Amino acid sequence: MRAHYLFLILFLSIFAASCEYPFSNDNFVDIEPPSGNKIFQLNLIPQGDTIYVYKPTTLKIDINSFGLEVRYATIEIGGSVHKYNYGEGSISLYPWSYPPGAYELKLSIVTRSGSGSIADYFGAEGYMAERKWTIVIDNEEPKPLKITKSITPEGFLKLSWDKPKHYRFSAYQLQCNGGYSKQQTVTITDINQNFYVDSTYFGGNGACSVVVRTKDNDFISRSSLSYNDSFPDPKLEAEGFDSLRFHWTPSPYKANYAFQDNSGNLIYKTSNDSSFALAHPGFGNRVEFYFFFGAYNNPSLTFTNSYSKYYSYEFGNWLVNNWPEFGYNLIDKTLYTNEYNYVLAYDVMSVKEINRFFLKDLVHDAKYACPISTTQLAVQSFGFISVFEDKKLGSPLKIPYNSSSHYLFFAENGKIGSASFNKFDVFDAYTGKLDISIHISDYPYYAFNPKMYSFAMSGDGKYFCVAANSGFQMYRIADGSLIYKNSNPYTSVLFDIENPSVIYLSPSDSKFIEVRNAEDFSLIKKIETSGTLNMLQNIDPETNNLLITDYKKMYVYDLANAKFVFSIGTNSVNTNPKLFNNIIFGSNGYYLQISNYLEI
Amino acid sequence: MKRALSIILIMVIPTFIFAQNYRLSLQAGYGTYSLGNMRAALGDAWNYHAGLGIKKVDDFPGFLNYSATAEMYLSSMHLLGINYAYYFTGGHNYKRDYSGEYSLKIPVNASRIGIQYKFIFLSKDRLKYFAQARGGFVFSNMKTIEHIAINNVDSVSNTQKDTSSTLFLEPSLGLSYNLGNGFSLDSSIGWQFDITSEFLTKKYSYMYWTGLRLLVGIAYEF
Repeated sequence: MRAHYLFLILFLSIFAASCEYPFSNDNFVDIEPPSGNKIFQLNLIPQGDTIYVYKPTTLKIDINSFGLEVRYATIEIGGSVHKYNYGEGSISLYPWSYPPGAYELKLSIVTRSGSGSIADYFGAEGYMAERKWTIVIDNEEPKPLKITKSITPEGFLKLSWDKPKHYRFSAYQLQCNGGYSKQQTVTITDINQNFYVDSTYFGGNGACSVVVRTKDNDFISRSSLSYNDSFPDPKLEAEGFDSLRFHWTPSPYKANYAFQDNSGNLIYKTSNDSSFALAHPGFGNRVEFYFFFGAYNNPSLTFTNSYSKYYSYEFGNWLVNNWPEFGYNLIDKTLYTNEYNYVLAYDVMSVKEINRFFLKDLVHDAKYACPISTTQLAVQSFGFISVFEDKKLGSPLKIPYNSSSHYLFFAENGKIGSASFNKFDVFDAYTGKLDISIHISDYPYYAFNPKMYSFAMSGDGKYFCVAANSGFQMYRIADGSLIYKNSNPYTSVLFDIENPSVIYLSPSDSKFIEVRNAEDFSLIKKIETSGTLNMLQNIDPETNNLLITDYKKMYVYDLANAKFVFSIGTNSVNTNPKLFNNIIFGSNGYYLQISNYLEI
Repeated sequence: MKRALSIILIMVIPTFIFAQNYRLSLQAGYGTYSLGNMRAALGDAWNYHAGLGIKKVDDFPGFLNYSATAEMYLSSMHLLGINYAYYFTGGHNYKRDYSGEYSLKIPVNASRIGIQYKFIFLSKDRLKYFAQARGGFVFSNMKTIEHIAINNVDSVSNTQKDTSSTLFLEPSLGLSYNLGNGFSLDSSIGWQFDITSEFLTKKYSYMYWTGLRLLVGIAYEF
């Protein structure tokens, strides 16, 4: 029994030693859970759905949690979470810390729930809100663009350049200057359109600058390209004596080619052809053109908006001014004419002046005549007929002659004939005395019109004739008698040089030239021509070629071989051309050596 | 500590069992405990989570204690013995709502062991009136168990332990009623004073169990 008590005491002692205090659990707080959703305002300042960071940028964080405590906030850029001290209210971004590119910026906040619960207190209950922006970061150094020039299949200038990799691209800004086009300022906002087609450029000095603008109104790159493509250079060449042809190497650019005459009349315009022909202006007829080369889209080409070039063309060589008359001495091979009041002597082979002599009032009424067999020269000026011995043009024998002469001839017998109003005077070239003055009863008063009259004196000095629209008259000089007359209209008459009894007559409105006997006016033969107006000009004493003009074309007829051997265009200005040594000397002051063109 | 005390009792008790004029007693009672430092620690924890709305549902209240004594009669009026006592109480910060639970429990207990001297100053019939003094060491244990549970989310617990030792002195008055057959019914009232033992144990003293001791028990003399 005593042992049982001892064990009981022992058990109770051990039990007592293991007892612990029973804690209370009587603090249940009955509160309502928070609502499931709540609206917050998350903003970054400056605002915008896309944020551009091209330089160190501080973004102010503006959060309205509507009274709820923000436990923490994070900013995540491109998947990388950046610690953000919410208390500072801003985050600084340095563009060089990121590879250039577009990133997603996410601002996240976690707030308490505001319920006051245990979970709220320990951060296990609350709201999470986030907002995302696109953030474009770019700090890449500017690189110069390489601009290249090409031509589109349509033929327009195409300028291309490298596409920049900058994310802050805003626009390409171009300024293009073409040689004749207006300055163009072009803005291209599509980064992929890294080219520009300038349809206004067609050549010449041009330049284009390309500026790559950025969204922050800066520029990344600026490059320029200068170019200078040549303009087409049309060549003007004669195709025989019938036509002229402009031809050119086409420009690689699509453009308009236009030609104007010197009166401003458009004579040809094309955008495709590379040549065109126009009528040959003929001998001694200077023609002028303007070539215009301009933009294809420009309908009206002018000196200011187009490249232009002046062209002139004349067939023949210039000799003297003032509508000269000509004479030729076969022995001296000397051509005579005048410049103002100077008698000029030219070597006919070289057409170089060899002498000159001053004669008062020569310019008003100059006429020249030389015999075939001597070196003499007779010159008609106002008031005198001067007789020179030769091409040296020494002191002449001056024969007073107070009349305007319409015709002057120096016969082989030393007699000089001069036709003036109603008379034909014959002087002795050695004494200067008047041998005879023949009254011409039907003198062509309208003789100043060269188309309507012609005088001729035979080389032997025996005959003198008048051919005009009013008829034909043949006089014997020895006695001044009219030996033949008719009323048929004629335009011109010549005595043959080798045979003074043969005359060449050109009836009005006839395709034929009549060859007649001077003494009985019998018809020897007819020479058929191509037209009905045949003005017989002269017979070349060197070649015996007959020069004829209808004031549209000149013809050379080979009397020996009885055929036309040359023709060339002319005009009504060239009233009284002469043929000496196969050189045509025109009233327009030009001369043309035709030996190489003769159809022998 | 509990296990060590149990071993000591097992070794000591037989010595008294087989002696003459010995007395064994077991008491249980109620005690109040100052434990000021512990209350302060619990208060600090409460302050730390002031925003949580927790409540100190237990603040180291006075509570049951147990005591065992082995005495031997030095004379008919004087007894000398050894005494073992066990105290326990706790502090608790607590809150529960729909979202979860927060609990900070600080259970503390102490094993007090010492010697005692009892003077029977009056014996009349079956009653004996005595005065008693005890002194010795108090070996205290504490745990800090913090538990947070968020419903349907997670829970976490953290437990820390520490010990403390003090010297104590307990004067008391009591009476014993002889039940016969060597058994008697004892009761006493006393006041325990705890003081630091750091100068002896070199261990920091911070749990002081100073307070009222009311005990009743049963004793057996042989």
